[in-house]
Amino acid sequence: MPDSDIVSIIGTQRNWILPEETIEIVLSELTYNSGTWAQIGDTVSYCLPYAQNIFDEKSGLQICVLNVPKNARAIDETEGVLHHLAQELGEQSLEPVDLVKRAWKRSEHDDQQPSA
Amino acid sequence: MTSSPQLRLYIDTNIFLDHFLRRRGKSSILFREIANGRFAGVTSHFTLSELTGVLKELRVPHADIGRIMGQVQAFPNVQIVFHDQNMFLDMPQNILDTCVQCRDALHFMIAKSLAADRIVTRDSGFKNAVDSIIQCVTPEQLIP
Repeated sequence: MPDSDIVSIIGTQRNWILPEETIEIVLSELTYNSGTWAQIGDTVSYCLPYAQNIFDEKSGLQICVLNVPKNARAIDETEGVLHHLAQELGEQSLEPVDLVKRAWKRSEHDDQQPSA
Repeated sequence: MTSSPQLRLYIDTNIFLDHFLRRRGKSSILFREIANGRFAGVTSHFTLSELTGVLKELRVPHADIGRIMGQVQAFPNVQIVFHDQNMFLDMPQNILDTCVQCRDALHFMIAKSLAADRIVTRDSGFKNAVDSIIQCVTPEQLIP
């Protein structure tokens, strides 16, 4: 932009007014993700889970549950998400049950380490 | 005509891992059957904690762990329950005596408090400890 078109200077900032034909401003419809599902590409993601107290008819208890929007695509998207590790685990004869117990041991070991 | 009541299933951590690893068996089918309303699924935040621990152990990148855990929470018809101290007030003596791992006892007490009809697991040690109180089954036993 030529300096002759500057309409104001504030500090080091120069301000121009663009003629209408210079740029077409397109305002897309505003969307809000708060507390709702967001679509990012083809992947389902989630926003703002929160805990909620509800009465559970089956147990007769007031229980605290995680309140998150549900989406069946989440099952599809997580099926086989660790498939690339299956062969390696198979070669070590590690079952999912073993993985859980190994993670327990690791966390217990880490808990016993003195903090810095 | 009345429909049979929906079985409430407590889903153990290893069933989610089956699904992630796409192992043989019917764990993934079970989640779809739960989503379709054939069964009602429940699990606890201990399960989320264990899944996170396993994914970290397997060196899955943190961002991916966050994404996967978010998706698990979104599984339809699977309620994720936080424990309450009252759930642990009457832990049966035989569970205290036989649960090898205290975390098994935590899963069991939440399943019992929630009046789960079955615990879905492949952990034979867990099954041996609690089967006399809540029947433990594999996905294949539920979906022949």
